[in-house]
Amino acid sequence: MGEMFSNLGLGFQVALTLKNIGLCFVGCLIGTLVGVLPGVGPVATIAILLPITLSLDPTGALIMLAGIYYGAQYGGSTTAILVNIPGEATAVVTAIDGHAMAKNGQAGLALGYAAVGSFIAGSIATLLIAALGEPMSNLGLLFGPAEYFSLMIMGLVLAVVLARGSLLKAVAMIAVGVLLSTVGTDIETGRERLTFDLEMLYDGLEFAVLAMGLFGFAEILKNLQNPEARDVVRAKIGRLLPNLREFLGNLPAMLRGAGLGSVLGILPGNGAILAPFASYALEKRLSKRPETFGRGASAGVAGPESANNAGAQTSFIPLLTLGLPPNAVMALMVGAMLIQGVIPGPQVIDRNPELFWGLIASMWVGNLMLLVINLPLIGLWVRLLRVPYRLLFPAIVLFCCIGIYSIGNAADMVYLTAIFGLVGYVLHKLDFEPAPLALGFVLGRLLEEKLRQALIISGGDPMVFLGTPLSASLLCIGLVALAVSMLPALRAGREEVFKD
Amino acid sequence: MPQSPNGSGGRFRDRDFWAGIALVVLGGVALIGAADLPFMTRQGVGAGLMPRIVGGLIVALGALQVALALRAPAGPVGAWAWREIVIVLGAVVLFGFTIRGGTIGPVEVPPLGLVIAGPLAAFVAGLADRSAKRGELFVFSVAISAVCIVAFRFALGIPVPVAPWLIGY
Repeated sequence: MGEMFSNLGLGFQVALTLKNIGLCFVGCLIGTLVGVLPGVGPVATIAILLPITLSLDPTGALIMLAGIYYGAQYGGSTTAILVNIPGEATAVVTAIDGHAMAKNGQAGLALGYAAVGSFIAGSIATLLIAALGEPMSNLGLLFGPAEYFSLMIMGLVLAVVLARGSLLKAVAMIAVGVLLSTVGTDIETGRERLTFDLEMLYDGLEFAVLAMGLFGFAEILKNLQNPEARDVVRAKIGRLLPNLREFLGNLPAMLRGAGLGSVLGILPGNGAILAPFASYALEKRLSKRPETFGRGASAGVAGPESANNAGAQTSFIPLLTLGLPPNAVMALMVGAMLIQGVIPGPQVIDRNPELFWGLIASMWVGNLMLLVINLPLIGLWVRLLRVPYRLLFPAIVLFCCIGIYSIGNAADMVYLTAIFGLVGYVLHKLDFEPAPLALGFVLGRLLEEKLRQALIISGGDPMVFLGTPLSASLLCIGLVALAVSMLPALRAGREEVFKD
Repeated sequence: MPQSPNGSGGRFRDRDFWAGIALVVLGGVALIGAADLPFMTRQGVGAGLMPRIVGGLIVALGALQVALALRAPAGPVGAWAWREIVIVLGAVVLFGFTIRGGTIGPVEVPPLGLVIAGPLAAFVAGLADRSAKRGELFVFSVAISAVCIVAFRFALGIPVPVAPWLIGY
């Protein structure tokens, strides 16, 4: 315990230098600015802004990226509350009661609950990460290639179970993602794979390209085809901060949300996506007046927003301690770390302690900053959201183009992104979800690498994955989760969670 | 909602049916593309193992999806936004083509930089919206490009070419 606080102390020494506070501030601000744009979720925001961080030192770059991430999250919630357009799956829940509150003239209060809840949840999650960082890294060091492989399989199975819609399609999307990850020159054998003699494919596909196409351009095409009635709140914004009684009334919801989100966020396979849904269902059940949910219940904003933020933050744990990105956002973080020469995994905590603890401390600083900068800036975001979509989307297209071009200074990447935009649109038309594809792509290369290593160590014996208790139990958990999710009763329950 | 499964050609407009077909085709392409890559070598897992296993899995899932769709259709695919696809993605390609220049056939484009590529991409993309007003869109495209040049190149220091033909970078 004492060690944890001395480590956090080190972290704050790093995070509270003037330069890093500045980077965190700028990250939060531009993250929110881009994240507020309707239809631009955290994945697209980070992909657009990734090049900005390339010229920084590793610690500064990651601190800024984390700031961009929290900013993008909060920007997405702002859009969900004010315009009823959630930028990504986890803001869907916020839109329900948040937008209802906004229509009742309580937009400010809804944003206030979101900000305060996020801050409280963020503080709890920061402590949790600090406490779990060391033991999880030690656990990670016990993992051999076989265990890693089994853990990833389990994570992918959980991702299927947690995905919306058809199980078969979710499995297929993961497989497509893994397949796409094999494109390019095979590092191990030097053979070209599935490049079809196209020069732009020799180095493989860049994740940012895939993400920007699937999540950025495809979203624009979807919006253009189905112009949503964007009803930007005309009612007054009202006061922002809840009074003490309102705050205490919603504090339990925030704490429950923070707890749920923290636990779900740690799960490999994007458990964080479930957090706001679970929190909303829980608050509705516990509420004395469940009929107010959907019509502007403050707990329906405070709980899920806390859960969302806690999950967003604890999903750093698998990345920082095991080197496994649990979702698309963390996959972009891996990309950024690799560019900076930091290989994510259990060794980071020992080799780059100032990076590890500095990043964790900056998470808390970032949450505080969001509270400080966003509440006064709400007027600005409202004005930004009143800009008609016919002007917003060309700007988004341009941001995406510049972002993608700058990652590799190559026009080829811009063309590939356009192709993935088309792919993303086709997936949407055929009822496929892009999120499992992104996860499959991210884990695909690691999966193959660990498979190779495990089989070399075992001399080609595939039973190695069942050979150690740890590896076998991970596979077992995955198998059970898959079997259980196919039970008809549970499948119905799963649909309900997402519909609620 | 679901069309009658025996309806006149209904199943050939069904989105689950086409989802399955798309998977079979994609997996098939992967299987053919990776056919000459070794599955296993003496050093262990070969370059072909992963693509071929996953490709096979995708074909199998696609076939299953087709079978399921024939029994219980999900509903028609619906209209495609071809106009929007061509214009928006065309604008993106145009950006890539003009930012640093290049040649397609007889057409040779010098590196034009963000000064030209920016407004061009934003303006063309904006035309995809049927409610676009050209004058407004033109002014906005130029303005937002100016903002991007200042923000990305000068404030954030990203080395994206601004106007190589005029100021050398």
